[in-house]
Amino acid sequence: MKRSTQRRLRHGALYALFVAAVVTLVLIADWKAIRTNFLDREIFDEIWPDIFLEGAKNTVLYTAIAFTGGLVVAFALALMKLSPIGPYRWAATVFIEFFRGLPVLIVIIMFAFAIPIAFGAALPGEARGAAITALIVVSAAYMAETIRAGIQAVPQGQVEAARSLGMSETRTMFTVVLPQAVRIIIPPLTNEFVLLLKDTSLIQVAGVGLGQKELTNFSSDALNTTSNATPLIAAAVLYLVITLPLTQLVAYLERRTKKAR
Amino acid sequence: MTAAIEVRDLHKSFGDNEVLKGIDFTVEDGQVVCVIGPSGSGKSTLLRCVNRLEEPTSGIVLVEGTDITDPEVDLDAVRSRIGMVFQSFNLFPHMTVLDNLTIAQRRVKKRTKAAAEVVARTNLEKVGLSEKSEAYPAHLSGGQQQRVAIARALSMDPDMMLFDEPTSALDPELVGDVLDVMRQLASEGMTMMVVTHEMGFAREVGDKLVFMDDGVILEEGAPRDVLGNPQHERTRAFLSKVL
Ligand SMILES: Nc1ncnc2c1ncn2[C@@H]1O[C@H](COP(=O)(O)OP(=O)(O)O)[C@@H](O)[C@H]1O
Ligand SMILES: [Mg+2]
Repeated sequence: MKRSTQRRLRHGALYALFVAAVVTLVLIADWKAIRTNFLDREIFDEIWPDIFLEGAKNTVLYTAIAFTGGLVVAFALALMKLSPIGPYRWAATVFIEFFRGLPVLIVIIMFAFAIPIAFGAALPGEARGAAITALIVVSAAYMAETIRAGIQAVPQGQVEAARSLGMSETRTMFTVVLPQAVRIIIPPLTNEFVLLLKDTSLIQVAGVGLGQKELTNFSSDALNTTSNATPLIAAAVLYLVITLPLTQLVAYLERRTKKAR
Repeated sequence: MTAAIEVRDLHKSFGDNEVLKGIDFTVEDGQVVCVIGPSGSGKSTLLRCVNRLEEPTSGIVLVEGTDITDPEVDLDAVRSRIGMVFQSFNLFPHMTVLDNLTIAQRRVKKRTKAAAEVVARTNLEKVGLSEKSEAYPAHLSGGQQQRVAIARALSMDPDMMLFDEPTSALDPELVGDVLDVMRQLASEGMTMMVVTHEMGFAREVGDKLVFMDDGVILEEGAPRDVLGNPQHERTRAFLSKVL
């Protein structure tokens, strides 16, 4: 048999296997049960549009706050890691390694419950504020290394050229280094944004008030009151509506950066 | 009259490696001084100590009479009076040629956008690249990039210019255009300190030639004398390799 014939046969067999698997799944699935438990129209009408106006809105809001705060803290940490002064570098390293080494859930519980006990004062915004602060801190620990690597990827000659023109260190950072670093760090930061968006589902362990539930919290509570999984499916679809464009954007940006090299 | 650059007993070490071992050296106002020597002899380090891109370990560096090693000195102000041209051009790749030339004028010299652009266009014309003002550096040849880099430095109206092997990264056929621009600058009376391997340029344009070897100045004098009648064996050995 010729090589090309062999390859065609092998591909054909793989396709057949795939189709057989899908058909089997469709046949053995209990479509009636699926429709009544996961895709119930009446239950959907009950939760819509609240799942969107409260759940999705709060997910996006919490993500935006945590990401913006995380970015600012991460930038400060990156500068500390690049500092010629030892104690700054060490403090940043300890911070980064500590918060990257813990489950996010533990950090949220620490911030929401342990800090008020240990210091006799809660973080602002009550339990919800504490949980978001925890997300800021954790995402900052992840993003700091990305930003530091991006800054360091800008050739030293760029800094020297700017300094020899009389630009100050700060001016050089903002007009010469960061604009070039941004191109390198945007794809990984977008990934971090998606991870953070999903991590907002953990805020609920701190306990939130009326109208403050994010998507997961909202839908799992609806699941409990209705004893039906339709709210979960709706939440899943809403998450994908937000995250899929973002992950596609990352893929596009990465392709573009590769091409630009 | 105070010298443009005066270096006294300059030492520079990187860790245990002493790279400059006591340099005394003067560039008078309006002079063109060329520095030659083998790779690793400390030429770039000396040049970079003059605008303190490199921190001298000891010694004095006077720029127009100001000791720039003094911690109180306004280094940014001093640097804006010293143009520097690098071997690898170091244009800002995210800015157009025009922005490369105006950014420091606006941010450091506080010129208006319009005033900065007038200066920028004058200098672009001087280096023969008026039509490239809207181009990005990546779309220019090495020779064009280096001429833009010279125009960028000139746009700060510097009192003197430092060149660190400005033509070493260029294809041979592009070297001439850059040297022409430098020749033109010299004829206009610009004070220049040029690290170079272009002996023709040094002989023709230089007022003084300095030969460095292993962190010291081995000999210096009129280019014709140093090149035609070198006093040291090491100078002779170096010149026989490059001439
Ligand atoms: N930033 C640095 N750190 C450590 N060593 C350096 C640094 N810059 C230069 N050197 C060393 O100093 C010596 C002189 O370098 P340089 O001044 O660049 O020589 P040249 O320009 O004459 O080739 C070399 O041995 C080089 O390895
Ligand atoms: Mg050198």
